[in-house]
Amino acid sequence: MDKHIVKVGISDMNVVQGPDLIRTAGLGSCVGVVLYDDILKVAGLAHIMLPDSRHVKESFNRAKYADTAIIDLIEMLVHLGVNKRHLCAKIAGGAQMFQFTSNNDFMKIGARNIIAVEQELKQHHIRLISKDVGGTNGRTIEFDPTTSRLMVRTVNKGVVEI
Amino acid sequence: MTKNKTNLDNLKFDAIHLDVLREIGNIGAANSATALSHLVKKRIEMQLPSVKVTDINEAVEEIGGPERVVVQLLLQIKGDIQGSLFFLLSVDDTKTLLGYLLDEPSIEIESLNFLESELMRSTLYEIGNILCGSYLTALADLTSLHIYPSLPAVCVDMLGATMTSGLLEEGYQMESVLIIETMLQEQAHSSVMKGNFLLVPDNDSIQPLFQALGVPLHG
Repeated sequence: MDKHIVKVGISDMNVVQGPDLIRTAGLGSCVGVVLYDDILKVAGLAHIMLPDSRHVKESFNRAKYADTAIIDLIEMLVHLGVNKRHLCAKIAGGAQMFQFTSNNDFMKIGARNIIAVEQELKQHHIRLISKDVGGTNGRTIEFDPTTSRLMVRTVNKGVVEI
Repeated sequence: MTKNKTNLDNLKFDAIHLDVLREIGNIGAANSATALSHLVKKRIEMQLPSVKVTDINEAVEEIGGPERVVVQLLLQIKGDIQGSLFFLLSVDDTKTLLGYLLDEPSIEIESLNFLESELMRSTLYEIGNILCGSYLTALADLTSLHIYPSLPAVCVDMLGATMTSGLLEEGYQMESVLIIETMLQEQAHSSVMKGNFLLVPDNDSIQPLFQALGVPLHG
C-alpha cells in the first residue's frame, strides 16, 4: 500500500492514521511535538515556534505556541477516537542555530521552547517516550504511527530514529 | 508612551509605499554589490527587488523550501528601527566566494562544518560585515535614521531552521512578515553566483520607516 505523507508547516499541526506518515521540515529553535496512540496507530504533529501565548493580546495562530498547540492537538486526537490517557509523546528540535551571537542575556528561545513543551506534556499527564532536542542543528522529522518510530534527519549527521 | 502594535494584515500599502520599499532594496543592495565587486574583483549585478507581505511558510517556500541547505549571514538592526537583515548563499556559491577571497580557485570544503575552520568562519563574518554593513549604511543614509548593525551571525543549515530561528532570536511574534528581497549575482563565464538579501523590519518599525521616508502610512 502506498504511504501518503502528511506535511506540517511552520506554526502548523495535523493528524495522521497509519499506514500514512506525518512530517515537518526545517525545525530550528522550533520544537516538533508528536502525540500518538500506538494501539490505534493514530498520531498528531505540531511545529511549535514559541513557548507561551499568554502575553499575546491580538488574535493569533494557536498552533504556534506550546500552551495552545498541545491542548488543541490533544483535542484533535480525541476527536479521532483516541483516549487521552493512552497518548505518548516524542519531541525533537529546540536547537540553538546561531552559536556566535553576542546577546547572551536571556535564555535562548530553543531551550525555552523545550521546557515549555515538556511542562505542557507533564500537565496533561502525557508520557514523554523519547526526545532529540537542543544542539546546533536543524532537523526534519517524520513519524510513522504504525511503528511509533520518529525519524530525525540533520544535515551533518544524517538520520537517527528515536 | 504606549506601543502601537502594528498588525500587517490591517495595513493598506499604496503603490507609493511599495515603491519606496523597493527603493530601499535597490539602494541597499546596490551599495553591497559595489562592496562585493571590489572585494572579489568581479562584476556583480543585481535584480530588481521584490516586496512582499507574506506568511513565513510562503517566504521559506519561495527561497527554495524548508530543507534547502543555505549559508546564512544574519545581522540584527538596532536603533530608530529594528529588524533583521539576512544574506543567503548556496553552499556551492559560498565555496566560490571563499575561493575568490582566499585566492584559492578550488577550495575544498569537505563537510558542511565551515564554522569549525577559524579561517572560513572569520572570512564569512567579514563577508557578512561588509555586505550587510554596506546595505544598512545605504538604508541609514536614505532615511536619516540611526541604525546600528549587530555583529553578524553565521549559520549553515536547512533554510526553514535558520530563518525561523534568526527571526525568533529577536522575539519575532507576528503572523505576517514584510520582506524586501534583492538578488545579487556574479556572471562568470561558466557559473552564476547568486545571493539573496532579505530585509525584515519588525512590525513596530514599519510606521517609523515610512515616516522617515516621507510617506506615512494610514492604517
